[in-house]
Amino acid sequence: MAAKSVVAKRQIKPPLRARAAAGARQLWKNIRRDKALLLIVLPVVIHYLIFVYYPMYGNIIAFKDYSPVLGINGSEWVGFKYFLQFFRSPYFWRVLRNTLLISCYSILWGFPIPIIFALMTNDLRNGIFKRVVQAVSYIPYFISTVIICGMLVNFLSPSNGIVNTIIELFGGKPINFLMEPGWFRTVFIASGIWQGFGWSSIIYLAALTGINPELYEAATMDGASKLQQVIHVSVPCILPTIIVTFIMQIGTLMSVGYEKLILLYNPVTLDVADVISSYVYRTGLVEGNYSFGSAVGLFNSVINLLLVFLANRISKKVSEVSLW
Amino acid sequence: MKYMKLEDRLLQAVTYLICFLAACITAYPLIYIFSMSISRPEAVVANSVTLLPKGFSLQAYELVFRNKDIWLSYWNTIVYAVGGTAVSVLLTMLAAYPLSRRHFFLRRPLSLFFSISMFFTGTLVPMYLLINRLGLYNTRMAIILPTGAAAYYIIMARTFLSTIPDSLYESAKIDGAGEFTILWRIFVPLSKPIMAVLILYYAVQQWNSYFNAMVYLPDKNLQPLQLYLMKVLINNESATSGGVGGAVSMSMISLQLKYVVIVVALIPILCVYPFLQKYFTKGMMIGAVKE
Repeated sequence: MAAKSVVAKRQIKPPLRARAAAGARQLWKNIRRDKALLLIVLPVVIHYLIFVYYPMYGNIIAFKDYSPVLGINGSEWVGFKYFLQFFRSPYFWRVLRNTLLISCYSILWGFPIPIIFALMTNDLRNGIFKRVVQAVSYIPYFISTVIICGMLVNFLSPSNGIVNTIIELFGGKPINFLMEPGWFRTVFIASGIWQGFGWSSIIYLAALTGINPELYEAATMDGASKLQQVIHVSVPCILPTIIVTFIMQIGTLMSVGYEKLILLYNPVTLDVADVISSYVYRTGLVEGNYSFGSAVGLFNSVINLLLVFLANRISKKVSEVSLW
Repeated sequence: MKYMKLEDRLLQAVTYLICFLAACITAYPLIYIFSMSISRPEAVVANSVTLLPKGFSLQAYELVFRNKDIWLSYWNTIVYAVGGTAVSVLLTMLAAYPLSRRHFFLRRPLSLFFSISMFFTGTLVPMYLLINRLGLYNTRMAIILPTGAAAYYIIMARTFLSTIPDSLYESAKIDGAGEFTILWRIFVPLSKPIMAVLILYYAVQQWNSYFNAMVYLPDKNLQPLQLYLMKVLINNESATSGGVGGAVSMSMISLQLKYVVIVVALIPILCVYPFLQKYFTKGMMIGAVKE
């Protein structure tokens, strides 16, 4: 310790040293002044260090041959072995394709619906009707994944599900939706939209209520019809919100959640249903290939991060709207 | 009503129609579930229920209520919802208050420290290993502790706290109050709206989550309601503990039991929903405001 400080003394030139000392004094002053605030925030910082940053550091086992006996630090370093194993496996293309397809279709269908729904509910004049429509449309958001999946399993059941009862009523043949690879994505995405469209519309409604009414008055004076007002006043006014929401969606392009998928898929539909996150769950936790699962998960996180930055960059260039 | 162009009238009619249809599509499954749960078991098995209940029978409810497993899991869910929410709200407020003080010298670094978790986190496996290493595996704490304060909610709460007038803070300081006193005596009472929002968000999240319990809680006595629902609804396990006597056979009622279980699980959320709806939407609005 003493030797170190001697070296430090010799290397640092007086002005710099003086500045460093002043900085340290300032820091100390700040700490003393804000010590109560520091104490208040400390538990949260500790919680984050343990439950956020330590697992973040734990991602490092993706580069190691993790063995429970040796622990995270003691396990042998293997570099990109597990990443390469993932890239070369036949599952790589399958999970990549499914992840992209499911999220692209979700955005394609799921992104415009809340915007249209918000524009429509915003135009409803009848107060009670408006409130009922809104309240009802938000409910599914609060229903748990398990119940949603349970509903799907029972409604779509080929023997006694309501959907097939209706199909048969119209003379059709019952379809075993959850066992048909061709139907899986449709079911998954449609139920997602059913659950989220009302709730997602709130953010646009908030933006719509913020529009200056004078704009509409001016448009009416110019003889604009209601539809023209929506297209030329409402939509441009909420465009920044639409863009920010879109950036966030692009950022999640590679992260289809596993929680709903693993309840719905089965060996028959795995080929179209298995995404990166469910693959991480299956290989990492179910089969216990800790390092391999971490490698796949880390690959996914890094891509997600890049996507958010990329989307933000593009949006900044195109529209001067950005997340940060 | 003012004079309206034909075009506008048409648009309005279409708008009303579509909104009405949207509400129907959302409400229909829920009404159907409820109808199925109280219809006569014969009607349920014959698939003759389409919208309104056919006949009336509470036999399935009786069977579910007699089942000890469901009550146990209900109790566990309440413990997790209350415990987890308390921890999360406490931590969120503790982080939000210092970040809302403009003079706090770590304001920016700490904001970054929390926000990073929105973009990059530990993946599934490291989290699992951590829970094991901390000895939380198969304990209630594995559910209550890790949720903590989400960065997004910290930012939301901070945004709210910074709207509380500085004059209150300054005058309390002049009166010699410390930060703890100011937080506890002035800011917490004034933060009731945001705390209501936080409690709701965290509580619903805990109430609805199943995955952590599935991974961390092999012990049946600790498992929450959602895991029980998963077994009954998706893995097709039976929802009754004992045999079924009388005219209705087990195979007849097992389908109806599923709908009853869904209703029982949905009721708490649907009961509080009308009262809380405005808080939820308020939360969305606060969250939508950028710094």
